[in-house]
Amino acid sequence: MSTTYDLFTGFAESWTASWEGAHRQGTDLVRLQLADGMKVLNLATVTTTRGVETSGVRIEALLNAINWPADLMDIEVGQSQVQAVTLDKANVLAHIQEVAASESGQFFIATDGVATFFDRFHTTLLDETNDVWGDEVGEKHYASVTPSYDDQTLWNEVTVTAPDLADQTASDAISQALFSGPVGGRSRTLSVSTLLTTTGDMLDRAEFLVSKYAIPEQRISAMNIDNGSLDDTQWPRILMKDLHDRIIVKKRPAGDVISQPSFIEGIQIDDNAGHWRITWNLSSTALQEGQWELGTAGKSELGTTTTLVTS
Amino acid sequence: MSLPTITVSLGQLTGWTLGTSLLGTDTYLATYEYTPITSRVMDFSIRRGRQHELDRIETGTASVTLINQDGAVTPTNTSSVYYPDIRPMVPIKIQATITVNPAEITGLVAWYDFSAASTLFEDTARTDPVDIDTDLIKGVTDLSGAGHHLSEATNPPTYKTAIQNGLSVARFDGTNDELSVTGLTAPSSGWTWLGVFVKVGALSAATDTVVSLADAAARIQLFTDTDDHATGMNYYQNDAAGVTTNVATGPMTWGTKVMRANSISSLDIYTGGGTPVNLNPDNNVLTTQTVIGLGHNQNDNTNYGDYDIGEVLLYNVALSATDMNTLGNYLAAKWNVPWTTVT
Repeated sequence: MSTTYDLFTGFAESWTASWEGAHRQGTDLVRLQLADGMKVLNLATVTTTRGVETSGVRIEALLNAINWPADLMDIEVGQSQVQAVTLDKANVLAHIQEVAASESGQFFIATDGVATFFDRFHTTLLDETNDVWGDEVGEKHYASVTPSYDDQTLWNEVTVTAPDLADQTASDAISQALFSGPVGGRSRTLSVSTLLTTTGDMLDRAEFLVSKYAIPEQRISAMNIDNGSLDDTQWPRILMKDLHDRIIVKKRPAGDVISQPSFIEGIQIDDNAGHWRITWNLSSTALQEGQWELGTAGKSELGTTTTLVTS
Repeated sequence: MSLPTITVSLGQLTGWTLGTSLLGTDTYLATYEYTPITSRVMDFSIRRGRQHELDRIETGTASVTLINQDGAVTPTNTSSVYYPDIRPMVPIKIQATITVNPAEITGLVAWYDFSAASTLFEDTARTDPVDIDTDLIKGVTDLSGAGHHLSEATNPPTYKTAIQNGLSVARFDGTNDELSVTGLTAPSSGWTWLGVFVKVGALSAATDTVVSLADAAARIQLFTDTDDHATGMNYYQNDAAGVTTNVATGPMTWGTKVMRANSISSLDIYTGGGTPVNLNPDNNVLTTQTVIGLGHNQNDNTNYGDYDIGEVLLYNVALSATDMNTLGNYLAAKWNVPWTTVT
């Protein structure tokens, strides 16, 4: 009995021939380069007028406008309203990405070629039985994890912009004092361009981002899997994964236990003559809005999606 | 280590006529038929998503190195079977296939897959395959090759489509539905039964049986019964110490249950893998495995249970942890049910 998993669906960009070795004795190779459906969207332009609507409705309207097949769409309605717009031969991908950024959602082409949009409250349930990756017996094993604890994504001032609306800024003075060295009180500014419709929504976004990024935290930013670290039973859990799927990664350095409920932000797969190497870029689920709801499966399990803190 | 098998497929136009069909309307990804070009793949890589959660998700990319000694993927080779589709913007799919064949694990003596419609029949002679939802399943082909086909002429279960993970199941009504087979050989040293199922109706005071493994006089039985016993699943061996309660949990949600007889007096029961409940019956647990009854107590034709059953496997050996994990993960991926690694 076999199970087949889509890993990539896209389009050929180039077929580049190369000839190695002597004439008629070497190896003729062709290097096939591929891009997914984002390339099609990037090639497409659209001319249309849209009123204020939710992010998902806007994205679906653009896909429909360019005859993107309905059976290759999985678009959520969205939580945020985006501004009315008149588009004149506008790049479809650029506008969709701007809308997705306004929502703080994710737009991507899934492994099966489906154009997918998750709004910022999208819930991907954790399979805490099958998707706990760690270094103890009973956990699925990885080859290595990439920890990070640095100031590369430290933002203590966030400015959210939107056309025809006043910029909204949130800042964290404590962080600015802590992370500016001897000169003190300098900001590290993140600017977020959106199509949000109210300054209230913009300020909420700015405050949320500052609350999450003003203080650097130990995090696992990637998990690396090598087929040398696997047993056969792990393959289904690897091959079925797509962007924004949820896992827990555990690492137990001396004197500590790091347990990070994570979203998969990026997937890299390399197979060279049967040597598989897979890397999942990860983010903590705590960095996404709407991931905790009291009494909701997948959003408030103590010890799994929820950490109890007393003070 | 068995590696996944990679398939790279080339999308070729179907039903499209040059000069007539409208580009952008009549042709697109969904109108392509994919032809594997896998035999010539040397290596591949894929990059999708983003590095950091605040980045935009950019275009996913992949690259594949193809061996082209025969020139078949040379764009200008008009004699190639792929001509004229070796060109930019032709659709390409990269897929991975994992093959798990329960029959390759030693000891399989019965295998019933209710998601495989071609193995389910509306007659006990197994000549008339089920066609549609609500057809009655009177015959089931044993996929193990051992010939232990299930049958029931009078009160068979119902074929129900798209029930769990998009797959079909057999629905036993709890009133009189059953399927059974006789003639198995009692194992000499151990056996393992695996089943994927869910209870359809609420737990009740009735004895609702999902499976009984029996001989002419005795049986073991996995069932629920809130009247005399606990709210989980219970185990009964009528020639031994009677009922043992709460040997398995979760009959109200889809899951895999495993019973593994390790010896004549040691039986492990697993709920979705993990740590088993170990029983030490005071009579032989090996002698009763000559009859399989699904949905009822095989000895007495009583204790009918209302269950949706997806798949059942029986081995005449006590499977190793590795083999149980292979099968548990196979069932987990197929039926979208949990499986915790057995150690």
